[in-house]
Amino acid sequence: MSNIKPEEVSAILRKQLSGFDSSAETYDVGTVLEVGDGIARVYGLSKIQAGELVELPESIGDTGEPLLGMVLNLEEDNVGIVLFGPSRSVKEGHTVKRTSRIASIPVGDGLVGRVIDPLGRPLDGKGSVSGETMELPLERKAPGVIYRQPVDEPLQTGIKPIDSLIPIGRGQRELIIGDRQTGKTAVALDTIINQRETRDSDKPVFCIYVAVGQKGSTVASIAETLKEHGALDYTVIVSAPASTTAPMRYIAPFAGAAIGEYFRDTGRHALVIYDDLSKQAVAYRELSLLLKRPPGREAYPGDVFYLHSRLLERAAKVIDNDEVARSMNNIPEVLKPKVKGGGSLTALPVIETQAGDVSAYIPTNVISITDGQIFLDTDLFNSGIRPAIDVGISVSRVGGSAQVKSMKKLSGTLKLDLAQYRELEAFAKFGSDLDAATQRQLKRGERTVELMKQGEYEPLPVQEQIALLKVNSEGLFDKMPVSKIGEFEQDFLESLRARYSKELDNLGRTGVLEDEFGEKLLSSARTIIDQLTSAQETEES
Amino acid sequence: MISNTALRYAKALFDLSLEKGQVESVYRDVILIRDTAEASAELKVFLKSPVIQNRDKEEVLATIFKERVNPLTFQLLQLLSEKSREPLLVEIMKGFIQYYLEHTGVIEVQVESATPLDEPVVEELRKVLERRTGKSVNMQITEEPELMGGLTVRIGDTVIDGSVRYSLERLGSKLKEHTLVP
Repeated sequence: MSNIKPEEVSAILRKQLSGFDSSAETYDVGTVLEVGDGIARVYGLSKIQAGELVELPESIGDTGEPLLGMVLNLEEDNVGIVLFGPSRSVKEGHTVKRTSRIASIPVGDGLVGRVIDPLGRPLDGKGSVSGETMELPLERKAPGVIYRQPVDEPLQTGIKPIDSLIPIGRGQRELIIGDRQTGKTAVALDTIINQRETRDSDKPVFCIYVAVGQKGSTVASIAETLKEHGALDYTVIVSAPASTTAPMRYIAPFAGAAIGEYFRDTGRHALVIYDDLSKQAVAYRELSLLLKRPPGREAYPGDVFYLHSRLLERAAKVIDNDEVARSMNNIPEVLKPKVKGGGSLTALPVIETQAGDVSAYIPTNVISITDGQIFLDTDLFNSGIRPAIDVGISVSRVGGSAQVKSMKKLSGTLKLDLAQYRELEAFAKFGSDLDAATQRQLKRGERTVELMKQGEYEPLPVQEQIALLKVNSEGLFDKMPVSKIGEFEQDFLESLRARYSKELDNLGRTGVLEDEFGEKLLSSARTIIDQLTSAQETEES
Repeated sequence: MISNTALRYAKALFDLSLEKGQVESVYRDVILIRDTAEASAELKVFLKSPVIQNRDKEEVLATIFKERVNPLTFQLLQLLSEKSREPLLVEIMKGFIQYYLEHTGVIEVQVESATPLDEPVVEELRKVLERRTGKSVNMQITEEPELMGGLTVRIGDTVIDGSVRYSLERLGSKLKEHTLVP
């Protein structure tokens, strides 16, 4: 053990205490009238604002820190407060102190790579957040119409069916919806991992993963997965696991949005994933019922639509003009000097359906708020099509205009192939009784579906996706057995990376597939297909 | 805490007494009634009990207060019996005092001190508070050894905290802020 000199300790203490002001301080107080189920009614606090944080003495909590609460109800003779911590030891008569802080979170570049709770307190044991931070309010009005611009830059997820058929643009809100165990979180994580590709570009995407009401172990394994794939270096995880109180789960997505807005308003790009909003709605329902707000459909309060719409409206692409951006509405004072145009915040909310019921209250609400949805299907998942995206009912209403040019061209034929295949799928069992044209379409469809399969945590860069789709659109797979497609994909991409890395990079940058390179990749695809089919024939003989 | 119902009765009594120019005499009655009720636990229970008939309550109140109070105050007592609002009596009196103090520009200030305060200190404190609030100050001083030193002043919902306990609390949290969590 190394020795610590007492002088050193006192020097450090002196340094920290030098700024300490021991003069009298003024604050407002109230008294707890009644408390129960995490809700306290408080008398006094006559000047308090809605959404303000209040503090109860630290002797009450078991963490040694003051117990925090947030004001949700302002009534004639009392104030309704939700408590963020355990309320067991709060008693009638306890003093409640105003903090004069509207619920907010300290945000800064130092958050990247950290796991925090919705109030910005680190949960990963790495000490306080380093670097400069600023308090940003959890609730902020979304940018007005004139400060926005239409989506025109792609956000590559690295997932073949999404980037080709349901493209997402920066600033878009795309819902990921499906039953439990259909790979919703996997889609979200792949998207985060794929943003590693943007690190070296001039427009890197920062990611925020908000875990609401999940198992603590799940959050830990997600953090581990991201770290393994080098994705934690640009990701913030906001965690409100199932063991936290309902108010924490309620504000967690707002905390994620506040962090995302910091990047958005400073001219950078961010992606926020709310996993998942159905659990947040349940937490909000719990609070609302305890605060005696009238229940509506499925016992959700009347403003549950507004809860999600105001959250998701904050995803935006800010106009690429610093001057206009600076005049944007509702910019907190602390953020003003740093505001720049051209940033974006993309939101991927997640909703869990029960037995595929998309017409329940919360799913229909969020479907109508977002710019499209990615629908994940249990049957597809179980039949081995993973990611289990049902491309028939998944849509992206605005992403098309952000898609890379050559990808857009290829996706046209792809969509047609898949649509025709779905139509004819029922006849597939008649096999050779069908006419040649139908058989050809079935063959093509089968191979396209096979090509769309992709492993977990293996996002593909867009240029490689384009190469694969090019080969498919030329019908080169038609004479190859379906089972060999996975093998082909691997060999083909390996050879492309080895032989044409420069051309691939160029394709990724410009998004234009030159005819010359197109020919080259088709010819190398032919060679590999010939090899694989001949190998298959020798096996058979 | 004073309920809205009590405040409404108090406001009515106050406005009427103001109109009739009898505020001072009603205020004295109110203080008398409050102190009597506060001092006698029996009277409090009697007024609150739902078992006792309104007529009995009215009679008792009349016997105690009729000769001693302004007719206006007595009419309030009768009204309360009629409306079965006797349990609110003390609250209404407190409400009236609140309106009266507001009207006369007096504020109630609760002072907690760790050690007994000398008369000159109290006077100095009163002067400072009166200058700061611009009103005359009605001080209630209590001793609270838990403060460890210094004093706290509470005006309505606002606390001016100059106690050693609070300073130590702040110091503690400041030290914690800079400590790494293992």
